[in-house]
Amino acid sequence: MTATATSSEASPTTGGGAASGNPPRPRHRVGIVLLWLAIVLVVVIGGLAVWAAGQTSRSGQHDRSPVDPSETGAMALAQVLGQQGVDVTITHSFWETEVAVGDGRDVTLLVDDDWWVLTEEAYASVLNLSQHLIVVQPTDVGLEQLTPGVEYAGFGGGELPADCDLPAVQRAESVNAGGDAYTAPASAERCFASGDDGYGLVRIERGSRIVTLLGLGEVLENQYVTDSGNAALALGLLGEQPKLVWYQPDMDDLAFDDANSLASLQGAWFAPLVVLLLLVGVAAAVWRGRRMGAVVVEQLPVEVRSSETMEGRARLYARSGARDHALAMLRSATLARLARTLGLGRSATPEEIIGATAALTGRDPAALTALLRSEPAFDDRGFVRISDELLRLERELGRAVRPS
Amino acid sequence: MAISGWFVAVLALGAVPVVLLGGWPGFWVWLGLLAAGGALDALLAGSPAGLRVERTVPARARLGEPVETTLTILNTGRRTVRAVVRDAWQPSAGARPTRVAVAVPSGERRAVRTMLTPTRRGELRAAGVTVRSGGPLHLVSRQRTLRAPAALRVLPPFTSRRHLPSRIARLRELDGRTSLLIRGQGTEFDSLREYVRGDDVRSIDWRATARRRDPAGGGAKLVVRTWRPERDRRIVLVIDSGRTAAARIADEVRLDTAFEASLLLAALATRAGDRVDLAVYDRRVRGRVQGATGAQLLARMVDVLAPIEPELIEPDWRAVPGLVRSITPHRALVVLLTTIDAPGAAKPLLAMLPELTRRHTVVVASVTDPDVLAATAVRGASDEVYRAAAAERALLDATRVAAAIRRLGGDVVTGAPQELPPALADHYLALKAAGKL
Repeated sequence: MTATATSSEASPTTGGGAASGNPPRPRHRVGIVLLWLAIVLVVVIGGLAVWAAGQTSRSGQHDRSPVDPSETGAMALAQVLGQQGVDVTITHSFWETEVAVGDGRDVTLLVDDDWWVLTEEAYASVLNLSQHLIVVQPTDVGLEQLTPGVEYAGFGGGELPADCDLPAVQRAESVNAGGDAYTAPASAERCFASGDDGYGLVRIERGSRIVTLLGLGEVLENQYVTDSGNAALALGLLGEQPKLVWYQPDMDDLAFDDANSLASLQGAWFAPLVVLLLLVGVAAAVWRGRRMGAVVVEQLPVEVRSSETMEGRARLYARSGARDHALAMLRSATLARLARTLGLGRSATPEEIIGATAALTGRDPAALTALLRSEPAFDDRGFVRISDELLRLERELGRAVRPS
Repeated sequence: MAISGWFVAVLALGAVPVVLLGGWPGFWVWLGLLAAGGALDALLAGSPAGLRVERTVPARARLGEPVETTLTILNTGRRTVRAVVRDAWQPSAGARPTRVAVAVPSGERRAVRTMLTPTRRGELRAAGVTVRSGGPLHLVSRQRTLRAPAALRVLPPFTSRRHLPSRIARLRELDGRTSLLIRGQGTEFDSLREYVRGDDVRSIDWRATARRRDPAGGGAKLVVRTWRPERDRRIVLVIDSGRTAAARIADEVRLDTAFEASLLLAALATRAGDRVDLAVYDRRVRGRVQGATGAQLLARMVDVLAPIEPELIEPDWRAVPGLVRSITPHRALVVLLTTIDAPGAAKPLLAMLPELTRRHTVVVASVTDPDVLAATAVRGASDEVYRAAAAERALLDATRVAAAIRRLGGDVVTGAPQELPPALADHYLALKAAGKL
């Protein structure tokens, strides 16, 4: 023990002075760097994994997408069009489309709203974009806006011969595809009649604009494009003009609001301000979060509340209603205290104690025996009463013994 | 590195140029300015790596008394260091203040004073000294933790020493200066003196009286023998640091009460000329004081006891007779400071006891819980009566163990935490007066 005492005496002077000279702890630093590297690695790998999983999944992909090589995609058609010298631009938002179409001359605009996101205003705006508009399987709202008088007539399709004068249709001779059919007024060019009064392809001239409704969407798909004259029809329709804008609207166009969008109302400073405020938040977190040195830990000694055993036993008695057991405890404690008050030795029997108590207090020995030995408690009230009786007896004996 | 609140405020102020300069240009200009300012600040701040720290800490302090420690900071760098210094101690050291602003010019040293108010006995350790040196722009500061180990041993408070003067007075009454009424086997002959009224007639030495008879006549002068209590007896204190010692009774852990009681007994016994040895034991010896006397004894005892904490293990009583034998081969007063509250748990103690009582006088001292005693008297509702029954059961258990110890030849001293130390001291005085040591 003397050794410990001297070492603790010495440490403030020698140990403190020597150790403060070379403070850096390289192993600690290396550990922190390794930790950060590990975190970065985990984030990068996680990101790659999510990206790779997204590649194989079809969620979030359009049907008849010109970049999708799968069966329901339309990549084959887009590539052949490109080889034929048609300039194909793929767009997913109205703003992109507006930019890609430009002045709208010599451009075919293909609108394929397979997610049904375009609103009434959006269709109205689309109509104004281009002179040549091809709409693939539009919604009812779209039909109303683009081609008034044309109505949806159920499913159509099958092996259909060319039955109108459109050059593309004539070249195709026949098609074999499924899709929607539309009724149309006689003034319109109606092709590929199927069933009663339904046509798979309808072309309407609205002023200087030509709107073509393509109900047989399957002619564009990779899996059917080679059937019958499907390819000829698709190439003929889409390759009419030297430029093709292939517009498949994404979810963002749901919030289509003609020229009155939120972004147009913001000042140029809005985005930088938001970034700045984010930076302020991060800086404040760093400012408050940077500790002045490590937290000092300390081992605290074990401490147990002492009366816990007693409390536990009391709860146990109470829960199981062990009145007899509890009474036995109270009685033997009272007997011991009575014996001490009477000056009887440790070896005194209960009968002797009861006899002496009865003699001093003038109580009935039989009643005392019942109270101190046998009287049972039938309920909690009786239990409390007997306990009170015992205390009263102790006090009474105390008074009787005390010299007046 | 650390950034200040000013840094954050200046960054937030960047909203003005962002709006006025119209977006990203203002943003990047402000960010660039702030980065340049921060870099300059960090460059101009005095390097905390050039600081050397040295602590001056007293080796010992008593629990409850404040201690002043000094931290001397020497700047060996070229620039003045304006820094906030944190002198890190364990939480229970109660260090104040925790942050001190200090400016140390190059080549000079400054002292930082830290007051410690320990709230717990034991070995308190200082961690590093963290220095955060700020630059002139108050934007960025450089931070470094310098290692400066130090330790302060906080000794048990020994609050029961207030009982010591009265017990020493009682000890003097036992001494030869007054004639003893009770004469025990162990008392030793001290001297002869003239009889005064009140002396025990049994202590009259007739032979000496006959010899003292005055040749010139006159009355017979009675001579009495005086006795003094035996000296150079051995006292062995064995403190149980096992699981029951961890119990907290009336805001004091049992082990601390045992320390208080043994310190008071040791202080008293060493005054009385007895030799005191101490062992703290559960399954191995946690601390031991042997062969120390006088003032050195108490100093050694508090030093040894200070860092000992209870262990959550069952003490091994079988080895205690061997332990006592290793401390002294002679007959001794063996005081076991332990707990006697459950017959089951006390079995190993009772099994070992005859081996000790055969050779030694054995006293078992145990703390009783005043809460338990109070619970026996509260009997209002049925819940309270159940509680009273459980309390009576606990008391009966303790009584049974005490009775068993007495049957085996030991003595039992019990008391509430505040009362046990004086009760044990009184028991010792009673044994001494009776010459039973």
